Amino acid sequence: MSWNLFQPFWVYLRPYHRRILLSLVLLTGAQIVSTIIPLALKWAIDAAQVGVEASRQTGQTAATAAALHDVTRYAGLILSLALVQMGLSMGMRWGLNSTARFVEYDIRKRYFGHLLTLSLSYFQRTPTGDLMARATNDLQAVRMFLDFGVRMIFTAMLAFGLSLTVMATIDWRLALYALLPMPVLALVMNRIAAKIHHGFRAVQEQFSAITARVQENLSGIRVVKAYVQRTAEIETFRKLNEEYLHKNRALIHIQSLFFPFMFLISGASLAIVLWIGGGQIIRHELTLGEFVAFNTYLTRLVFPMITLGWMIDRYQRGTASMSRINEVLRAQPDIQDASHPATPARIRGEIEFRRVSFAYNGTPVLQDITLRIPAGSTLAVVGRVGAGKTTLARLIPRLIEATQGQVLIDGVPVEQIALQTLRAAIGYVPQDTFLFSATLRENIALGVENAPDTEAAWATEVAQLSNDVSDFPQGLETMMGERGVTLSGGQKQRTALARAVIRRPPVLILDDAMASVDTHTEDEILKRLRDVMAERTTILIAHRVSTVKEADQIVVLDEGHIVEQGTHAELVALGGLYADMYKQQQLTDELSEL
Amino acid sequence: MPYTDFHEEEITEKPFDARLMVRLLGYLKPYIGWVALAFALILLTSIISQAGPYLTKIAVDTYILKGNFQGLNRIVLLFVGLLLLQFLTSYGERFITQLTGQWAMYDVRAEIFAHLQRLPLAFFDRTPIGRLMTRNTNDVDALNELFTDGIVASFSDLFTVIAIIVYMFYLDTDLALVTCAAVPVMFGVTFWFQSRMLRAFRLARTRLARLNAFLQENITGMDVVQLFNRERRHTEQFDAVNSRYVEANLLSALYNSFFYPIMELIGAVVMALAIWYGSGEVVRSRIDWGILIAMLQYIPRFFWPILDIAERYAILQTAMASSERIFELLDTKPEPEGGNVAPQRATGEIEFRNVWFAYKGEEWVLRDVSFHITPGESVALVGATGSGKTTTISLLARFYDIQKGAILVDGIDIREWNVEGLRRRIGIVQQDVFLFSGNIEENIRLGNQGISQERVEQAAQDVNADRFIQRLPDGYQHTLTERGSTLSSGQRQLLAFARALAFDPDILVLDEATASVDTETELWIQDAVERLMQTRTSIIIAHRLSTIRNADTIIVMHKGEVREIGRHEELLAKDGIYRRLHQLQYSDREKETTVPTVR
Repeated sequence: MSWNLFQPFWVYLRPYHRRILLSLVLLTGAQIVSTIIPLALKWAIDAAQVGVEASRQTGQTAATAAALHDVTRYAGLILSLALVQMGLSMGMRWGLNSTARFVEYDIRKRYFGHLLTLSLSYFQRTPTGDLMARATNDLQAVRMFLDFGVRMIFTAMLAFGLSLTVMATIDWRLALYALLPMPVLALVMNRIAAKIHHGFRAVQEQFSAITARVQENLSGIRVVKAYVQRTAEIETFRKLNEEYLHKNRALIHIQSLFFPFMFLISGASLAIVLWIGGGQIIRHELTLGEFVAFNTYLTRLVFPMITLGWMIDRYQRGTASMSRINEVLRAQPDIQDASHPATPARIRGEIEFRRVSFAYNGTPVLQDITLRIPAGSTLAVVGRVGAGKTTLARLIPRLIEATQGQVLIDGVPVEQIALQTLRAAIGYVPQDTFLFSATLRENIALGVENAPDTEAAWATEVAQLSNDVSDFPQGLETMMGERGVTLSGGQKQRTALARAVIRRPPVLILDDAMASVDTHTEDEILKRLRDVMAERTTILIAHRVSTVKEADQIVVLDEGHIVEQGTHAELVALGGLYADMYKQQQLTDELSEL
Repeated sequence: MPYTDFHEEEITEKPFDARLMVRLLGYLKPYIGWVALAFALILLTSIISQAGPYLTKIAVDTYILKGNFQGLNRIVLLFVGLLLLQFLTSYGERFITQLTGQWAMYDVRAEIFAHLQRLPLAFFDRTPIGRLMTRNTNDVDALNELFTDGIVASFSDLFTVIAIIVYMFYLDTDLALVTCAAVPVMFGVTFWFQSRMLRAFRLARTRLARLNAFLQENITGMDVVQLFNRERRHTEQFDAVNSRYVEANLLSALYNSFFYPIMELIGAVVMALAIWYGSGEVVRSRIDWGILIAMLQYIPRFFWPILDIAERYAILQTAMASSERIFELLDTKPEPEGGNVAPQRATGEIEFRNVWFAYKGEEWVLRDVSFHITPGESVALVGATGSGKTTTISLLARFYDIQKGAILVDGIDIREWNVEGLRRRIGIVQQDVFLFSGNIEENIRLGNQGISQERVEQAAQDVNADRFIQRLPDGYQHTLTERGSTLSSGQRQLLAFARALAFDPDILVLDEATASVDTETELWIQDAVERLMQTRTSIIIAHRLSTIRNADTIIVMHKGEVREIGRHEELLAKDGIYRRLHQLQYSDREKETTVPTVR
């Protein structure tokens, strides 16, 4: 631990520093008060004993009455101290607990805010599970340290120091004797804890082995069944399961020692106090009250001893997790606005690719693409899977950035246009439709502010979704996804289409947007889209010839190059890849009609 | 590692259900002796561990205050002796309890796994693997927790409280009554707070699930968020769910901040009461000092067992929900075992007689399919994607039961065959070859120890897999990493052929992979397939022209029906479906792979 416990978290704690300081003051107060309570107990007992002695020796009822009066006062003192302690402790707990929650909130907010600025490439190389783990498990570890971790560390330190001080003041030798087993306790407990940690890891590893095996078995269940491997599989599982049992047994062996050992050692301290302290009472070197107080302080010492290892562990986890979160927060967004971005009031939609190349992890995906798409015209892009079609489309809204060359809209390089303006001018339908767990209306009106009903109706109509909408239980207000209805692939794509057209964008990009839509519906959509497309620059990535054949120009991509370019008629006449594709398409159509 | 899916919001709690509990306890039956021993030890531990203050009383009253050093030594020795005994009993109790729990969980896990092996494929089609993994891992752990931290610990707490109360009353009834007056108050306060804390906790958990689902959704759909300029809006939305989560937690923190200090206060009040009343009694010489001191030592010991109650109840509820899900899985009907027909060998005659099949409802995937395959005949199944070819071969191995018609093997309805007996006679090679972690030899033999190493190697040689295996480090002992991802797809296919052949089936079913392989491997595969077809009855979902040409019969499937049957030349001459399929797939073979395949 560094001398400043809070250092790694300081950025997030700073706004709450007064609150934390106050909580720590309250915590100290509460510990001081709770250290005085056993003393009050001692005073009460000692006072009562004076009364007992007095009444026994002299039979004075006055002394007895005085003693009882004192005891009552001390009982009252205990009560008032307890009340004060309650107040302090409530304030302290609330202070630390709530601060930890606020800090958790702040970190999460900042985390999400930062993710929003990162580009597609970051999400492509960082698995979602990893980003989620940092926002959940790691954040929890940080929070746990900040609330109980901090509370425990300070409580333990104060309880230990204060109790020890008072014990030493009462009788430093007895304190020393009583403490004798404590180093053993701290040492052995921490060793046990380390062994438990070790055993636990072994159990976890075996557990992972079991999990992996079950997953493999379930994934390959067809093979298991086809080759009648049931018995053999059960046998393999039995061995792993047995090994797990053994590993657990070893862990349980150690784990079961933890508390019994703690009771044994702390019991030994009590025995020492009973033995030596008892002798001291007989020799009148110690009062009964002191004896009782000693016992109470002893129990207050045990707790910090056994939690020592636990606290170190909490702290380490907390800091490790904090740095994992910071790693994400430090990731630089690689696609940002230029320092003085252009914000043209109107984008006409003329797109130009000037010798554009793009490489992903060093592998060229697009090479030397030069292409001009006049405003209002339609460009169709065809080609095999992996030919670079999607990459081409993604360059326009700057989801990715060209490694070489320039993409221009209305003659302005895209990186000089404000992202907000650029993307607002584009209606993009990606290959994989992504719907949010929100209502259908919200999913459609994603890119427009306060779309009137008529707009939503128009968009659903264009996307041929109107009939489906009327079948949904709450129409446009129907919830999508996990907690609502599940749409078919075609319905999803049509929703994405509606989402794009409702923006009435100057540029419309459809990346294989109708792959899951049947041919008939596609024709209908295309018919309606033509009106929409007429006034917009459209980029159409597709597999079906029927989709692309009416485009103003068609581009065939192969391995990142433009290999054919022209109109449908021109390309069919050319007799190349496009012509092949056209022939195949015709056969398939014929076949489906048989 | 626990399985996490931020979308799956399963019910995680369920009120106590006696019927479930009885069934759960059934798993402890084989270990009843150990359970009884554990309980005896718990009882013993409670009695011994609470004896300390009582011994202090004797030490104070009988020896210390009387100045008896020898007596004090004796009582300290007894104290130490009891400490050691307590160490042993409490260790034994913990060890036995946890071990018994592990034994029972071992049984549950084994039962779930064995049951999973017998469930029909239809079950796996509709149940995500992740969910089944949760059953076998997290849910089983919840049961273990129920036993050790739930049931046993509750009894331990109960015994402890009872032991303390008994000792107190034995010491002095009046003082005990004064002290125990606080117990109901503590229970009341605990109940009041804990039930609210639990509710707040649940609320927080639900909101956290929302929050995480939102986060995951946004990470997954980040491109859409950015493309549609949703950044500001989603920041606001996230802030709203984040705030709602914090609110729920603050509520819980508030209860928490009140609860423990109040419990501490109650403890202090009892302490003050005891000292006030007890000292009076001592001064009045009604009781001895030792009794008061012992009482003062007992008071803080009440706390922990009572504080634990709520946690125990929460564990119980979680376990109830888990056990219900586990039992639901165990109660899922296994696939039928079939009849008694299970001959050592089959002739390999196959007949589909007016077979109708749908995976669900009336959405027919096969319509009135009929064909006959004589022993030793090789048949190529041909058709576009979705025409029902794969379904046809799945039905032959009785992976699914048909709705109408009959499938006969050796003239016997497959429903009269023993399912495993039937599958032993059929060797299936799937399109996506599934390899297990392990070495090459194990992947050919699988768990069948009856297949000798010679046979494994012979099979590999027969399908031309031997060559590449020999070249691998360690040859047949070469360990596959990540389920064979380092092998090429052609090598994986050859391995699957070897596997099928090693099992020496009478009927060979082959779903040819469409993935393109290098020319050399392609030739080896063609050769292997040809040889496989010659030796036994074979049904091949064919993509290779060579396979189709070599087949004795071609069955053309289209939209779930058998549309054409015959040999290659006959069918080509017909100008029907086959001819078009042929043109589509093989017209320009020389160009290797053409633009997009048929959808």
